[in-house]
Parts: sequence; structure tokens; C-alpha cells
Amino acid sequence: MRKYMHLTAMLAVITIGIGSFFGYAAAQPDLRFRLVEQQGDISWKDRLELTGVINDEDWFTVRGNGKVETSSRFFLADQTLGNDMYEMDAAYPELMRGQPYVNVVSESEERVSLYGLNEKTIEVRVWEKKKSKLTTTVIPKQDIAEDATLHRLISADGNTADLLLEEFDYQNEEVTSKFSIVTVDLKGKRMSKRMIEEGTSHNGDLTVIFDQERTTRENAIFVRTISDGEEVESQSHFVLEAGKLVPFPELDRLVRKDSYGLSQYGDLLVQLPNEEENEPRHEVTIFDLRTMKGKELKLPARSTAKEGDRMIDVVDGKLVLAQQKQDAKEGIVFVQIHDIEKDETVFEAKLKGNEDVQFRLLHANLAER
Amino acid sequence: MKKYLLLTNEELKRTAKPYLIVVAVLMLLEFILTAAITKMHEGKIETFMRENGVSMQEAIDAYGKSSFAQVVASGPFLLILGAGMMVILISAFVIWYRDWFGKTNYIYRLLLLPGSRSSIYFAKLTTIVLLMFGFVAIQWLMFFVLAPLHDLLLPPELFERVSIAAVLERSGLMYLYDFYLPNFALIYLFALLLIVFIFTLVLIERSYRKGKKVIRIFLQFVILGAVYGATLLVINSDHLFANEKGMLFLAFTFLYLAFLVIIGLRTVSKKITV
Repeated sequence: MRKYMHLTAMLAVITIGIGSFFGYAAAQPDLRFRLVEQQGDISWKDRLELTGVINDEDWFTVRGNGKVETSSRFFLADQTLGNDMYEMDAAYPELMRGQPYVNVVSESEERVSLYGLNEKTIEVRVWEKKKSKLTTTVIPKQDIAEDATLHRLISADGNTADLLLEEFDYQNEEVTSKFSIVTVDLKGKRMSKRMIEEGTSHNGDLTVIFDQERTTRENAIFVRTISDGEEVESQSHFVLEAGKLVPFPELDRLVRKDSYGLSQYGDLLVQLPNEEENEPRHEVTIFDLRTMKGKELKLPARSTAKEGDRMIDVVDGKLVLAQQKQDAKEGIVFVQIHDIEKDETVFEAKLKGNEDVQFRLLHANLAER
Repeated sequence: MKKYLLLTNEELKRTAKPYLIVVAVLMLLEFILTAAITKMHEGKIETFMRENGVSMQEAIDAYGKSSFAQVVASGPFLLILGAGMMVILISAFVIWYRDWFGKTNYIYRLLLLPGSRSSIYFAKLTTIVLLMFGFVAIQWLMFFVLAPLHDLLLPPELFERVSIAAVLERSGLMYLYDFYLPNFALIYLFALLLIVFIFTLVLIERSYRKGKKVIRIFLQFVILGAVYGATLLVINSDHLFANEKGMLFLAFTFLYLAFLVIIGLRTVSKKITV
């Protein structure tokens, strides 16, 4: 043994060090949330199903009955583009291989379509769900700026699709946006572009409300924001009609002028309040595009909002709000289900997870099972 | 096998002293740095309180609490770790060249030993790999000494206690200490590739020594290295899923590693003459 003294000593150091490392690694809890508290209408226990991602790689489902299922998923898409991409990645991975950078997704029962901008082309990918077949159509880009962004599908009939495009104009150190409708002809492999006329003249940034669901709604809602760079001073809303931006006074009157965060869920527009510390309630503004009426919901605040993110989903007439709170030891997520019509919170749950866990709610499902 | 074990032990014996000195210096630097960064943070808080006449809580709100993760994530600490890794890579050159340029021309004694010369190659390779894992192991154990030291140097209200897992996550050291075994193996497989690459370069230089020939062979290496690099770039496209990338990376790295080891062994056995 003395002959191998140095080798033995080195192996002993490595065994202790690396052994303790693997011991420590094995003792680390899996990345997961667990349900620790719930209250409210007991029937919601079986109906709540939250799908989300933890730290960009673990896909999980939280069920109201306390079960938390996690699975590691591999993603191809640039996840900063939004939840749509996560879901597409998980459901139709082949559609995402070598995907163009900017994407618009539309889904029907038969197929999923992906519209993306490449350097010199517009790429349209269609995944036939039943046949599991991918068709890619590449259309040469004409008269589109390099850093343009495709925002959403306005309409599609199988042969042609209208897409909302944003291009940026850099002048005098100020960036302004120009919006247009791009029509792609899938059979003819051609495209045309028509600018959207602005109905009114304002100074300020024009943005589009990002829809958190796949949609084929005809009207995109535009928000013109006047800000001093940090604080929002005012906002005005427009809707696209026959290629023109028409003011939307009903929405102007209802939503807070000083707050970002207006999102669309089907026919409902939802605005979360600015993040304030120690507010006892979240006053959430809801605007129904079918009735053109709005209301304010008052949800009890379960977390000092500044400490974490808030994520919402609207499903089956219910608002699902997830508030994330992070501290040194664990990640906490409060889930509230609020009946929009009755303005009452029907279910609440508290989930706890590991420290440093970043939670991202993809969608909620409240279907009866 | 006995020859290989004896040679490995001999190599470790010859390396032990300088290795222990380097490791001790690096660890000492880590101690000093941890204490310095921690005390600087405390100093900042105290100065802010004194100059602005505010409470400790207000000062903490302005500067935040100190954590061992911040110390490790600081540039100088990572620099020390990088220096440690660099010393290991330099050792891959030194372990061969010292045998030629040392006082005793040790390499001639080695090459004249009876039996296969591949034992010499593998003994040196094992030594460098053991030095690398030794450093990784000692550094890992150091975290458990330095973290309590950080907390001990500050009053309880000034520090945030974090787990070593969080320290690794926040400092980016998760790449060196990956809890997921396949990832851990991949990282050190790549390190092994680098060591073998250095070995092959040294052995070819020692075999041919003539300028033109060495340059020609070196160019072949550059081309091969470029092909390997390009392969990795292709693998790293958005066409492949992480698991597919991992498999391809593994396959190409093994192929390249095998190629380099074969070249190295051939050189030691047939090209190097006494």
C-alpha cells in the first residue's frame, strides 16, 4: 500500500469531495410545487388544473386535488416569445424544428399554422394534426424592414392569410412604429402589404395588445401610450376597422390610463392594477367585447404584489390569478379562482416550491372531470 | 497494470508539492477574498448609515443583504477558480516537458522501462485527470467552510443565508458542479478532451521537433479542431432538442477523443526515440 501512497491519498480526497458533492446533489429535492393550503368551494378541488413551466424546462400540472405532476420537457423555441411557443413545442415538436425567429401561431381542430419571418422570407408551416404531416411554404419577403415583427393572424381562409406586421422607424433618436397588414398567398407564394391608416394623430408609442391565447379574431386592439420613458402618462385605445384605426372610447373610459397590462382572453379584455405594496385588494378591470361593457372585480391580495409576478388566465367565465412570491427559502404561488359574473372568489390555493423556482403559468383548465 | 499504477503514483509524487502549494495559495486567497468582500459590504452599510443618518433597515434597503452567493459570483472569486483550472491545463504541458528539460532527463529512463509505453501515456493522463478532480473536490469542500465564515463575519441582520445549491445557481458555477450526472459527465468529458488534445500536441512536437513538419502536423490539428468546432456549432442549432444535442455532442466528442488518444499512443510507442 505504501507503494501507492500518493495515488491512494489523491483518490481519498476525490472520493470525499466528489462523493459529498453527489450526496448533496441526491439530497436536493426535485423541482416541484406542492399544495399546502386550499379553501373555498370544495367542488373546485377536482376542477382546477394549472399547466405551467418551472425554470424553463420542467413542465408540470397542478391539480386541485393536491396532485402535482411534473415532467422534464425539451424546448426548441425561443421561449421569450410567449406561452404559445411553449405549448406548440410540447404538443408539436416537429413544427418547431428550425423555426423562424418571430412567430404567429393559429390553431384549429384540423391543423396548426405557424407564421414566421426569416431574413429574406416569410415562412408558413402547417401541421396537419390527423395526418401528422408538415407542409412548409416559403414566400419571398418584399418591402418589409429587417427588424419587423409579426404580431398576429387577423384572418385566414386556407389559401391566404392576413397578418398584422409592425415595422420600426428610427428617426431623431425616437422609435416609432408603423403597422400594416400583410397578406400571404400560400398557393401563389406571393405577399402584399397595405399600411394601416391612423384615424387620429398623436405622439406616442403605438403597441398592440398581445393575446395570450391563439386567436383568429378580426379586430386587433391598439394602445397608444404616452410616457416619459418610465411612467405611463396616458393611454388611448383603437380598433382596426377596414384598414383604419378607429378610436375606442368605451375602452378609454374604463381602463386605467396609467397602467400597462391589458390582455385579451377571447372576448374579454383584462387589466391588472399597477403593482402596489400591501394593497388589501387587487382591482381587476374586465371589459367584455361582446356587450361592450366593463366592470371592476375586487380580488383579495394574497401576496405583496411587488415581490413577485402575477399571471392570469380567463377560462369558463372565471378569472384565474396566480401570484408568485419568492423568498430565500421557497417559491410560493397563490392561486385564486374568481367568478367574473358574481364577483366572488370561489377557490383559493397556496402552493409551495423550491427556492429559486421561476414559475410561469401557461393556462388554467376548470373543466369538470 | 502494475507498471501503470506505479507510474501514476510516481507522477503524483513528483507533482504533489507544487500542486499542494498552488491549491493552498488559491484557498488562502479565497479566504482573504471572502473576508474582504464581506467586510466591505458591512463597511458600506455603516458608512451609508453614518453619512445619511438612517437606520440599519434603511441602509439594508439601499444596499441589500450580503450573501455568500454574492461573494462567489464576484469577479475575483471566479477568477481564482479560473486560475485553478488554468493551472491544471498548464500542468498537462508541464507533465511532459519537465521530463525532457529537467536536470536528469527523466524521460529517457521512462522510455527505456520494459513493457508497453502506453502505460507512460495513461499514467500521465490519469495524473492530470486526478489533479483536476482533486481541485474540483477540494473547492467543493471549501464552499462548506467559506459559507459559514461569511455568515460568521456579519451580524445576523446583515446577511442572507443561502444554500450551496443557490450559491452555485447564482454564480453560474452550476456548469462545473452540475447536479445532473449526465451533464456533469459531459462537462468533464470535454475537459478530458482538452487535456488529451494538449498531450497530443506536446507529443507530436517532441517526436518531430523539426519546424516545418511540426507546423504541417499542427495545421492538420487546427483543421481537425475546426471540423470538431463546426460540428458543435451545427449541433447547437435550433433544429435539435437538448437530448439530441447531448447525444450528438457525446458521440462526436468520443470519436475525437479516441482519435487523439490513438495518435498520442502511436507517437509515444513508435515516433519518440531515445
